[in-house]
Amino acid sequence: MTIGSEPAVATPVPVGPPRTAYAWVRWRGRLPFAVGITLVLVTIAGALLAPLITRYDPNSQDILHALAPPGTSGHLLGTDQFGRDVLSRLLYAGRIDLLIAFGATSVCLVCGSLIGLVSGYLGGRVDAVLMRVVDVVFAFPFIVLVLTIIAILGPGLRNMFISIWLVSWVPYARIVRGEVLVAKRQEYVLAARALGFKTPRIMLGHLLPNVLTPAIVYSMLDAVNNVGLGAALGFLGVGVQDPQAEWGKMISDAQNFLATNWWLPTIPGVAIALFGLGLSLVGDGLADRLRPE
Amino acid sequence: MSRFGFVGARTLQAIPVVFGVTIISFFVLRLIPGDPTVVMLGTHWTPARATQLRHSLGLNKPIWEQYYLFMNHLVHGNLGQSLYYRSPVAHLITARLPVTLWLAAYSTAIAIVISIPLATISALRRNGVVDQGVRATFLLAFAMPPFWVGLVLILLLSLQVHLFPVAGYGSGFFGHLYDLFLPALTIALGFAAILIRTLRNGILGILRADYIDTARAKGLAPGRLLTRHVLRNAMLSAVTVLGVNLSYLIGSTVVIENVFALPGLGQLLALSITNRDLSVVQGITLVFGVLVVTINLLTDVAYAALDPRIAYD
Amino acid sequence: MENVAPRDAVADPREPDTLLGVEDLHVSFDVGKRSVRAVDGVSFSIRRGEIFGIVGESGCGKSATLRALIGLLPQSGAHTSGRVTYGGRNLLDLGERALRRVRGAEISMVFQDPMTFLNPVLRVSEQIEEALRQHTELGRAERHDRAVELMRLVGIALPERRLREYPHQFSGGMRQRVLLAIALACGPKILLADEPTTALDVTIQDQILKLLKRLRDELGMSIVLVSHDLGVIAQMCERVAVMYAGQVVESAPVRELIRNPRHPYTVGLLSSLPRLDTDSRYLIPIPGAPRSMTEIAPGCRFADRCQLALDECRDWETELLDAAVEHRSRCLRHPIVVRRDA
Repeated sequence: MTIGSEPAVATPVPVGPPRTAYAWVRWRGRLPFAVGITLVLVTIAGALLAPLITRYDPNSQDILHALAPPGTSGHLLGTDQFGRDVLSRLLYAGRIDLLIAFGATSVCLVCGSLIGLVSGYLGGRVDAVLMRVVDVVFAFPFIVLVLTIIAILGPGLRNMFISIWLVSWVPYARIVRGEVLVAKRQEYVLAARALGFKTPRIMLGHLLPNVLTPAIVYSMLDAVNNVGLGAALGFLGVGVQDPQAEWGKMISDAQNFLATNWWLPTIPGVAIALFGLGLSLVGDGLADRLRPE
Repeated sequence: MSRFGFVGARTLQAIPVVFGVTIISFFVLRLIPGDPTVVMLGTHWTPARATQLRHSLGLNKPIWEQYYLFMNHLVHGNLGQSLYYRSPVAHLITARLPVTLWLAAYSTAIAIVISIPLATISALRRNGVVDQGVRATFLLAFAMPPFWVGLVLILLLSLQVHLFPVAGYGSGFFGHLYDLFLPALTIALGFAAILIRTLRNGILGILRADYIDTARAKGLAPGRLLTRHVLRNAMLSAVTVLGVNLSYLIGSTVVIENVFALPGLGQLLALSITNRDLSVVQGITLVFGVLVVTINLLTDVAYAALDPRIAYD
Repeated sequence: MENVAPRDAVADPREPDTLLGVEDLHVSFDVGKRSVRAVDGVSFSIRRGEIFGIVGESGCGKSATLRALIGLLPQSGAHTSGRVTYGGRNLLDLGERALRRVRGAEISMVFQDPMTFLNPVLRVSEQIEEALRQHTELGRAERHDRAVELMRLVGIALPERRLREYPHQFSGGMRQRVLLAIALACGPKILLADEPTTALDVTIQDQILKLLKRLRDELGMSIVLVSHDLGVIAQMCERVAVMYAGQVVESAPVRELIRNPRHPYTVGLLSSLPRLDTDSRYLIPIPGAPRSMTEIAPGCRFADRCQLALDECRDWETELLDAAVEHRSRCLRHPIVVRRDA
């Protein structure tokens, strides 16, 4: 302070909050992200380590011990109407849903982003045509399109993946294209062109890292949606088929027992919710990290 | 560009999209791998019926003739014949469409009623108790699959407490309101999760706007500031958000109708997939597509009505 | 009412026409884990009916100073201290409700970019009349009449019709006039103008500045004009304070400042103005860049960029020194400072 006199009002000028307070604020901000990562990792671990965690085969039936409540007869989460161990089915089903969350989403992320990148950068006819396609796809609710494709191809896990891939790339294309249109005019691109870089190199090397951020943030949201979609399809009976376990299908199989054995349809839903929550939190955390505000 | 001009432009833009919608619906029956008649007729397949089917769909003709035939039928209200129910697809759809529309509208209404107050409070008292609570709750709500939420609600409010019916559509206006409450609430919860987040950000953005500084500099009281300046602008962003997400809402009705056994298009769609009744699937796909385009257009009209920048330019 | 201005004030302590006295104003912002000192011990006073200028580069704290006067800083993360004496009270002590009575009615503010500072979805009439509604007891018809009167006062033709229009239907200069009409609605004694012409074309700029002067003459109100453009300040103001890095580094009546600058920064500002009366074709910038306001080292903040700097300048705890009559400078070596072309 360079002025001789004391300030008339006794409010001091802080030079920064004390270290301990700041550390707590930072930790508290990171908490959701940490919780999210934990949930996701637990799910992955549970699914991959299933054979180690449970000794039951997810498909082996034991009618004598059917509909056992959780914690009885040596079944941690009980059994379903066929006597199959719920915990085992839950863990093995996790593999399918994980596959959907990561497998389906990542392919859509990559393909959609590439298409958006090309479309945005090249502009002209290519762009016009691609954007028309995007507009038309957006005119349908996703689930309707996916169901229609499954109607054509038939039910099953493989067709489910194909239909998600065919439909879900579209938002990525639109997002990335939007970013590219903005970035195209930025100076670093103009500089690269002035230096004589060829188009693909500009696209991949310079544009891509910058425009991918919103796409990656969106992919977390999309993963949650895809898991929900997969589960919904399983619930409707057009996803995985018997006797494979999938969380949505487990819920569907247990619908009729809602009144009598409520845990049966509830537990898989909890799994979906927790996994989805984990992905959402990770997505939010990434968004905050990648977009300083 | 006046309001008419704006709406007119949007309508013109919508036309090619509608055509695209018809094209995609058209291809539903034409992209079946292998012999489409096998799939469509299933266990009722006989060579005679197959030939008849091929003829009625014009499957032997060049593709553009088929499309012309398809569009011709469409314009005359003919969406084909359901092989399972043995009745025109258009009849089936018309019977069930009101249910789906009811559900969609009801869900939207509930979602708006939930979202606007919560988003406003969250934005005004940013990071306060309400804000954090709301965000956490709806983060969880978003992760929970809607059909599961529906089942849980049935469990809690129908089976345990007998407050609402388990299934069915009810009769009469109030019958519908009562019977559709649980399904509409289920959809609304998921929808509200998105709405609240976007609205909150919109309001936060408005609060940071320069014209709010002017309003403060005038010495305006917070109450007046809020209602006149913030909310008027927030409504605009709310309409946009609704428009963007309405297709998601409509998609939600498909699954929820199946959870609550509602006689709407969604239930028909699921049944028809199981029955491999592809003409019906084609019809429903078309209707949903047109529905979304129409609603988006209506949203644009609403936006034009609210934003003076569009009217007087 | 104690009207004794402190040592660092610009005005003569016995001047009875002082409307507003600012003493030792400090404003800091919390940015992440750091604290940025935007305004660091600023003092000046505003006299009745004068046009007072504050000039400096972007980021020197002039906007923050204006906003701090009526408590328009962001509601969280901003810390203010000092005294802002108006009507016998320290405005910084007032609660939000009391401050609201001052804002718009006693002390008004106009801002830089009229497009973003007007609400796009409300008619101009609504935006003017709500100020009247807040501060006066006028009925609806009377408010409307007053709004028409105000539009005429600021020079907008066809006021009745224009009142019903929306901001985007006005041109840039017209919008600024609307902002002025809003600010003047309740007859304030002081108008704070934060770069009111920066976003406008040069010809429009001139119109608005002339309008401001006319308003001062007709209404007798004081104006605090903040700008980075010394030309604007020279054209409009009677007394000036030059700010750098959150501090007032020189203050004087405007002609005195231009003829006889007593701080190297002011000299630099004057030299960087394009001049029409010489043959010189070069613009002389001030070397270096302002330091970030988080790293506050002791001593003169301009020393890094100053050609006259000595070692003692960097250790000196700066204060405003008397250089001439009503002319103060925060420079140890002020006696030897001269204009560049002298």
